[in-house]
Amino acid sequence: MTTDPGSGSALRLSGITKRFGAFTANDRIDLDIAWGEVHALLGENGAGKTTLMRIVTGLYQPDEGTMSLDGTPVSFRRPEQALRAGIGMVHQHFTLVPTLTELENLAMAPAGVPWRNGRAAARRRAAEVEAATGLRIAPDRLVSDASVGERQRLEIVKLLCRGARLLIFDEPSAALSPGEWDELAKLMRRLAAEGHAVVLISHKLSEVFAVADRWTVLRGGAVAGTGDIAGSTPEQLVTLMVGESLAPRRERAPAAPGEPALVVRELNVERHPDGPQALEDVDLDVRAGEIVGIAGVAGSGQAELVETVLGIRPALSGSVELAGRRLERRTPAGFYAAGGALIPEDRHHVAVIGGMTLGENINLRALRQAPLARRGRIDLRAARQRAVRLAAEYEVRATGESQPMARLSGGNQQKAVLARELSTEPLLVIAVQPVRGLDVRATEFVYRRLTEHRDRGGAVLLISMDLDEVIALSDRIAVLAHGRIRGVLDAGEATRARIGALMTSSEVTA
Amino acid sequence: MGVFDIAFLVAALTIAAPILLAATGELISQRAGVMNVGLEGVLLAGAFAGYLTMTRVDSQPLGFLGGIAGGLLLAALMAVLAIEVKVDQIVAGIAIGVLGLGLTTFFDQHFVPEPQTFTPLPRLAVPLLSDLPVVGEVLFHQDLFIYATIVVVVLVGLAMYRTTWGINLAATGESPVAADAAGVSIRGVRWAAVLVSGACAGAAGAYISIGDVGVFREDMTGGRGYLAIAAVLFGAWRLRGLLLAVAIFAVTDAIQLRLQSIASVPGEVWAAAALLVLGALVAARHRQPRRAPKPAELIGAVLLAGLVALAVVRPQLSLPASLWLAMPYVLALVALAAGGAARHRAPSGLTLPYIRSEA
Repeated sequence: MTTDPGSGSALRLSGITKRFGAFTANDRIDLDIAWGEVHALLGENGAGKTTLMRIVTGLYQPDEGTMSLDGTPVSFRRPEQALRAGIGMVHQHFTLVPTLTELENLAMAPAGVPWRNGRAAARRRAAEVEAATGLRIAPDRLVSDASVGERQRLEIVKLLCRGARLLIFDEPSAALSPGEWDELAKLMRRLAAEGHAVVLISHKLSEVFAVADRWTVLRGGAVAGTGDIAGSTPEQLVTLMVGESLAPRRERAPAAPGEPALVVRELNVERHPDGPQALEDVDLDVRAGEIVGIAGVAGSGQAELVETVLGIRPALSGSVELAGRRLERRTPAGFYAAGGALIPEDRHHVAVIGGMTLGENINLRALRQAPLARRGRIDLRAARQRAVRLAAEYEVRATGESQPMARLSGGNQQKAVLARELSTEPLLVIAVQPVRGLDVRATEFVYRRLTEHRDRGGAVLLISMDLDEVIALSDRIAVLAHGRIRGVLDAGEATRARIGALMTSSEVTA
Repeated sequence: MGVFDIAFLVAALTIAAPILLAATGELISQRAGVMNVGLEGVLLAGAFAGYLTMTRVDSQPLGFLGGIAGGLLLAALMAVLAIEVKVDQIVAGIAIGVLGLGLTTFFDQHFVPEPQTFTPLPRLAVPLLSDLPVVGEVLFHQDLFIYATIVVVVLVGLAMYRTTWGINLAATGESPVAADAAGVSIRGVRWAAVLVSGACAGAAGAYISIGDVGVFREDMTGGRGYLAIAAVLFGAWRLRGLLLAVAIFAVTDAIQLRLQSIASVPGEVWAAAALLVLGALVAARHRQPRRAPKPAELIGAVLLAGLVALAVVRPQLSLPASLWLAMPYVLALVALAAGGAARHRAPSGLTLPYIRSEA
């Protein structure tokens, strides 16, 4: 390995700006990464970490700003160019072929001469990497037989074999067991000691404090701060990550919680047979007349929780009670029949049927009961009237109830979904990211309707990645991180800092 | 003279060669993730293009080149549809199959109104080796196409399992994202694979028309393309499995050719079938020795007992010729059903167009 150990600046970004339409994902970012250091990049979802790293690895081109590597300006048009310059990224989803052996995965490369056999050369390079870093692979083992940690190691060896000197790890611990993480942490330190530069993207502060030399926090697309780990405290970084709350708490009547509507007990759900569980011993109560928000970064188990309650994902163990009745052999039909309703996250594919009319979409859930169903036939006139009435009541702007759903704007589609789900007077509404992609006015409408539903004695389970939204809307907030409920806060005591601390807290055991 | 003589083995080899060559090409194409269901049409295109060339220049080497060109043409169309336009591969393949049949029939009537006959490929004896008993006659006294097929299969085996290109090929069909991330051109590998399969099928088609019998008839490939696809599936996308599958199909076909002309079924045919079933049962047991027998195995055991009884009793039994004709295809169906367990070994990216995402 011919890396030049030196403490000089490896990668320097200055004034990097990237816009997507009107949205600025990266706003004049300056970042300095030196050889021989582990640099932690922290930030909430949407803080701009991913965009920035895509710029560094050549997937995106910045609109403004310059990059320099070893003091010479560089710009990458394609990922291959970044890799050739020595910048490699270990993605959360590995780019390995499971049916090939580890050696063959290393040998996979554009072949100059078709009949060349790259296996021997790959074996030699792997031996070199092993001599330099101690990273040992099992060359003749099929990747499908390797554990997640072993696959990650192979991915790292692959990058080193190609001459990567700056390695970016994107949430590397997400799929690892604690033991595997310890090994990876040691490896990062060793790589840095060898003179490589390591960038660690994480939102687990314990990991950052265990391995990093320096940190940079991104918030809202801009650099919120940077510094040495030595002189910093976790509290300081959390404050930087979550920032000050911008949205004031809305004034409204205090909740009057009644009977429990949804009771989840010791729910365990599998994500992948040999990975960590998606949900671990989750207990959750949502009472009638209150909004319970689930706070947590994306992928903490929110989707699995919804799918399990709905009945489209099996649980390993645990129970779900809705309206005092235990839901055995859960199915979506059973969930709705017991008084549940769902505002799904994916509006286009799950919540609405674009090819059907507005009226049909609004009536979808009411077609089997009177008054719309009459002796097995649908009363079309009653259905039309109901659709028109609900469209007016929920302020859906459309040319008529027969307009195709796909022609409506996102806000009006979501209002129609609300009309469909709330008009059946459900006991529990699960709302997943209910205002994603909506403008201010439609957002306000959704918030108001959900609050009204609560005031009428309904229960709402709100799942959102937006901390401000959860804080603004919820009466109680459950913080979900890595499949576990880390704590439940009352609205009055919930601040961004407290929730952020719970979100990033690493439990003693995972 | 029994059924299984030297002439029978020669016939089996002659039947096997074009299927083997076409199936080898299809294997490469499928390993890259492109399934050409219209292989039958490509074969026909090769058969007719070779024949057409012969009617114009009367030169066998040029005839085979013409056949290869015809196969390449249809394969290129398939590649454009599957790789560039990203059409559903099954639908595109069916279109290619129908197009191959329609075009060759039409052009045959239009360009060659008077059917012509040519001398088939001459048999070449390999010096010394052809003097060996049995083996010499079967293996070393064949036409050039059969030797060429053997060479091509060996070369393909080396390319698939001993070169970087083979690794890239497997990666492209299995996990295009990973191959792309490694800098392998998905488009390049897939185009190359589909064109190789077209050239193989074109040459095989030309052998069926001008190499073996020296004439062209409408739909003369008679389902050999489908047999080749079945062989790829039955062989679980491995070259060795493919060889075994083609051998079984060819032997069955050769037997049925023989039996069409014999009044009653000779005992050794029953014995051979019994041996085949026994082999399959033993192979199934060998893979998972300790478990309860599956229904399929019970059926196999009953079948075995019946066949053994027939072989011992030797009844004066005869079946209509059309039933014998259907035998290789029936066997292909059985093979596909039995190969259900092997289906998980199909390349994961098979029939899926690759669209690079920025995630």
